[in-house]
Amino acid sequence: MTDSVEKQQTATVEDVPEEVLAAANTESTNVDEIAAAAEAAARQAAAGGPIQDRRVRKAMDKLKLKQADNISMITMRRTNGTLFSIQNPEVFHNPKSSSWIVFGQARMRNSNPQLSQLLQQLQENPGALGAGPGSDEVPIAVESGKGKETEKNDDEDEEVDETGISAENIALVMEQANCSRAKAVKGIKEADNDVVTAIMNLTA
Amino acid sequence: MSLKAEDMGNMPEIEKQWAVVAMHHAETYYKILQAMDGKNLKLTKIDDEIYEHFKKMFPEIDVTELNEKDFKTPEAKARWRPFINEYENKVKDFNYGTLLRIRADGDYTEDNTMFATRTQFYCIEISRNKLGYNSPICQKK
Repeated sequence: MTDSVEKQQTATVEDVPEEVLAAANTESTNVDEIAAAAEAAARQAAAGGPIQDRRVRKAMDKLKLKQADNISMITMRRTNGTLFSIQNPEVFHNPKSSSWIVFGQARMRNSNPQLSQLLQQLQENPGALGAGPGSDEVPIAVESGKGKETEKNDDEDEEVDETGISAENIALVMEQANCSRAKAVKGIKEADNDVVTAIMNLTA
Repeated sequence: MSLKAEDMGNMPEIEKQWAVVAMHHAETYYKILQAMDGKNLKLTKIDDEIYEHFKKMFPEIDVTELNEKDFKTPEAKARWRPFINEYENKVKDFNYGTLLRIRADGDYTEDNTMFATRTQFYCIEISRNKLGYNSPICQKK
């Protein structure tokens, strides 16, 4: 038994970058429970088993977590500019709090070349994680709860008045600064229609 | 104790910061030119106004290849000054130091870059964009 547990744990350490888990919680009482469930689930996933594994289901049930349907993608942005997006994630949440647990294969897009290089290395050789620098950075446990969700929504839902700004300029700024439409429009306005300054401000 | 303004240099940190911003501006602008045809690029709200005004005031300037004499001599500076000041409230950072490419077909290399104000940058680059001199940069990519 100890043998298999140990094996599973090493598998977790190596494979977590691929099976990104995010446990977001605002109620401190639940943090440990959820983290434990998430860890168990990640272990299952890392060991090669699907998330649908009965033991994970049971753990989720025990915590009264509900699965959220019809979610096609989850994007998370970290402060260092890294973007994670998870296609077809399995999302669980606790209806009593704003805790969310997300399972899936995370893809990374980031503006930090060092980090992306590291991740590429990891993908080619997952075993290198233990030796690599910043290894404890890769598994993500988001603990800011609602914050992440609302940040995403702010970006996408905000209606912005685009009068006086050409669609071409907006597209250009979005492409060059790699930002949302709302941010591009705001940036162009702040720069008084000077796209160069707008992009500079958004990429600085 | 008297301090004379002429004797005072600029703080090296401030100078460096200017250089960083100016380089960032230059790089960003060149990236835009690589990403899209300059003909479709609008740099300010009043591109047309600047262009017409510039053509009228400095018809002799060849924007494909600039001559420093048109910018750096005392006479040239005297001609530019009132022109630039007209944009004080019309264009953001009208007087801000900006890097300008001497030849329209070249990148911001050491021997192809000169110092200008933002208004001068607009004059030259708007003209280059309108006349299509910047278009090859996009196709080069």
